[in-house]
Amino acid sequence: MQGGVIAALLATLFLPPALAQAPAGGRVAPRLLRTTLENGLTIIVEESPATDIVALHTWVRVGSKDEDDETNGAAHFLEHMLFKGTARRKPGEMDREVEGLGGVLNAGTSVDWTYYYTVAAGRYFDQILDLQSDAIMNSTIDPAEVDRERRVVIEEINRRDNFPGSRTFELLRATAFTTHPYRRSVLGPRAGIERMSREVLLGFYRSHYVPSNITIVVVGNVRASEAAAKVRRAYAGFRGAPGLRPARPAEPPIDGVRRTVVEQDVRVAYLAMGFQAPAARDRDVYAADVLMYLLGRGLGGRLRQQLVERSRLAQTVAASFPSSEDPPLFVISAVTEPGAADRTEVAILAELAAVREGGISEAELTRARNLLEGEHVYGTHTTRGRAFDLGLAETIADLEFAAGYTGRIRQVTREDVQRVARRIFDPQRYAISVIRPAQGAGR
Amino acid sequence: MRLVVVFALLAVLAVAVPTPRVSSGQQPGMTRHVLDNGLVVIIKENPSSDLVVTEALVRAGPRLEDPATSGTTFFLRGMLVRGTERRTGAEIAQTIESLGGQLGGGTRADFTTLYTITPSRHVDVAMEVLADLLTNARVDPQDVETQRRVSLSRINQNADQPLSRALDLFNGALYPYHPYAQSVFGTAESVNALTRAQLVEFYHRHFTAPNMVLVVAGNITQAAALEKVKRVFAGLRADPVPRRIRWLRLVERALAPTPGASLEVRESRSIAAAWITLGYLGVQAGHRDFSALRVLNAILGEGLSSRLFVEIRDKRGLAYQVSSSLALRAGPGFIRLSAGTDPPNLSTVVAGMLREVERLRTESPPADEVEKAKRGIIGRYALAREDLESQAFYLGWYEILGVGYDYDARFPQEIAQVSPADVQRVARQYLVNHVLAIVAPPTAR
Repeated sequence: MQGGVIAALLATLFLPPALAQAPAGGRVAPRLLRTTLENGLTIIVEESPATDIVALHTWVRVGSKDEDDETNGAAHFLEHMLFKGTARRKPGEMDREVEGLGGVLNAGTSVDWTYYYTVAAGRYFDQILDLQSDAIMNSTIDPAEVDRERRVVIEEINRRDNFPGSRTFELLRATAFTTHPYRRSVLGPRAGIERMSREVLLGFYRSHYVPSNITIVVVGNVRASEAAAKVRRAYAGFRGAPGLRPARPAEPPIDGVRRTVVEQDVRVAYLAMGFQAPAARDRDVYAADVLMYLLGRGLGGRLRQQLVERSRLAQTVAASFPSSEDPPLFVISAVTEPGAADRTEVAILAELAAVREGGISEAELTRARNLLEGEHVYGTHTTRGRAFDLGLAETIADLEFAAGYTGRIRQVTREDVQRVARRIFDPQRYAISVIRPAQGAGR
Repeated sequence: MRLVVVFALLAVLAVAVPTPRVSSGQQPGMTRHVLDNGLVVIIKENPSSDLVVTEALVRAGPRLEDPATSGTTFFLRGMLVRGTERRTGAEIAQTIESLGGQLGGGTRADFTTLYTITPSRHVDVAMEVLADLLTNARVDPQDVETQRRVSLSRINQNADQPLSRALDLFNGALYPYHPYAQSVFGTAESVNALTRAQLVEFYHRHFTAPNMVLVVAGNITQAAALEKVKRVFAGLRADPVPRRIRWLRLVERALAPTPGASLEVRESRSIAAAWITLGYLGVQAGHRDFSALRVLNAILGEGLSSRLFVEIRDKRGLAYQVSSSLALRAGPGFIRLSAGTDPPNLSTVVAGMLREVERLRTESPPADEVEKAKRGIIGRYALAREDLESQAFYLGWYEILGVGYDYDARFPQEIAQVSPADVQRVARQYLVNHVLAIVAPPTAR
């Protein structure tokens, strides 16, 4: 058994270290291993000998984009159910076991993916692997637990809707997309969650939680070959073929300026503008990331300098652009005084036009590129940060998206940024959502 | 004004408060130095990434403000990145961010922080910019008006979030006399009234070497870090620690009496959920009961297997977010439970919280549950220090609270010594007379 495992591992690809610069302290360069088992499960391990910690992630290629109107919210609801017991473990036992080891565990669901993570001292790797693999393969999805957890999911929806900022993003999503499943929210509508049956959840579990849809990521104080062998053993009996996955309809270009305005019990105005933007596999994604930093990240971002510091139209402004499997939205969000939302929208459009038509300076490019790289290096210097980076890349694109990321960012030119700004920022085609106080209310 | 009078009275009546234990024991890989100007410097070598964090912590925050000046520290921190005598705000941003560095900070109840994270090779520039911000802020009148609008916006955004609003109500009710009642952002009245002169005076009084702790952590040697800090931060003002800070230590326990009876405050809002905070007055950092309270808090509401999580979420599905937290403060802290729930479940969740509190008071927790809680605290403690900025921050935090940077290393041992009897004793002593703050739709029951 052991010999066969080692032979299989020898055949796997040893990628070059992702972060090539060797720190002055003489750390051994991280070693990255990727392998796919016969059953289709992908394993990624990166050795990080400078730490005592290990991060274990399980990434499942399922999110709200795999749902329809009836099943909207199922991927996220199912994520909750994976903590609610297996054939071997009662509900809550997994939480108790991991926390009893001094570890932390949790999970997250997006439009594209669901991931589960456990972080603990490296010596507990065997236990946390046993726990996480048991949940992935053997969750019972007990009917009584489904009904209890349904109420928790509804509380989570309430919580989201109580944050004007996150509600603005939900409104934007529903305003911008008409065809592609990105139009639906990750948590789903309250009414849909109230009536979602256990059969829907089980169906999702059986068709999506199959080896070829799953990547296990291990980063930390482990030996790569040894950790991969353990993961292989834990998932040796795991079988299943992916269920039918209907092709996702492409979103047509936004047919003009689409607008949603909601008045509610708030004191300031929250706005978000969304433009169709490149997916992770699109070669323009790197320039678009630089563009995000140029406009709306850091203290020196153009939008902050112009809208907060010079014109004082907005008090908060930022750009965001999630790496996604299908084309996402490039979002610019702002908080303004109640009467200033319209003028802020105009001012944002003027800044976008300035990049589109006037281009950017070398100094701006340097700031945006280096800040992006610096934040990326910082974000991946912990085991959990690096595991997230690797798992996300493998799930929405490929491992090269993570391994080659900083190199690609360094190659982005001023011309690339301007060209991609022209591609994304069509002033005739965008969506905008605004939450503001009721007219005449308050000040 | 009211506060000043209370201070004067209490200074006379001040009883001895437990002195925080400060150890001078050096930790491996870490050193502590005091520069000639009074600046405390802590250096931690950590070559595991090619980064250096330089973090300044300044004793300035709501604890040192009064109702009329509430929000001054947060306002001032916003001013620092907007320009110095040497650099415009745009130049500050361009300088740090072009090197792949981040310039960040935060304001908490007891202190405010300002830090840079940069690749190791750029640490000199990062330190020079940080020292410039801490010494030569320009506080330009135009920028004051910009920041005023930002501060007012933050006050409004905070009020737009029901949980933040509930936390503010809780603080106001728990601390009727202590400045901890005040929000970091201040009030519309205080922020509208702040003048440039007040900001500059506050800056000169608080941003001084003896009132600050500087931490350098990352891929840099002790010797190199110390040499750079001595050179770059020598020009900080050396004025002594403000008198108010020295006095406050003596009187602030008396400013925060345990409530004479349980009390409830409530605000109605047209929102989807009911938000609950329920808590008790606790102790200050360094108090002998802090570790036992921390274990109590872990049993009650830390993580996914705590009593609150299991009873209120896992078994009954009444909340998504339910937890408790123990404040680590220079002055009297608190233990606070919080949850969001469907409006019809409001009283059920409050009753469930109070039942768990009562259980801690009346039953000694099982030994295995206490052991699990202790392992959880110690394990999470290590995990929370995985990133370099947290490593710097915790050392500085403990130092500025007065318990000493090496508390970071002592803490796990202190937790390990807590017994079930300790937990029940502190439950009986501190979990009395709660403050309950609710933000909910008018229909919530």
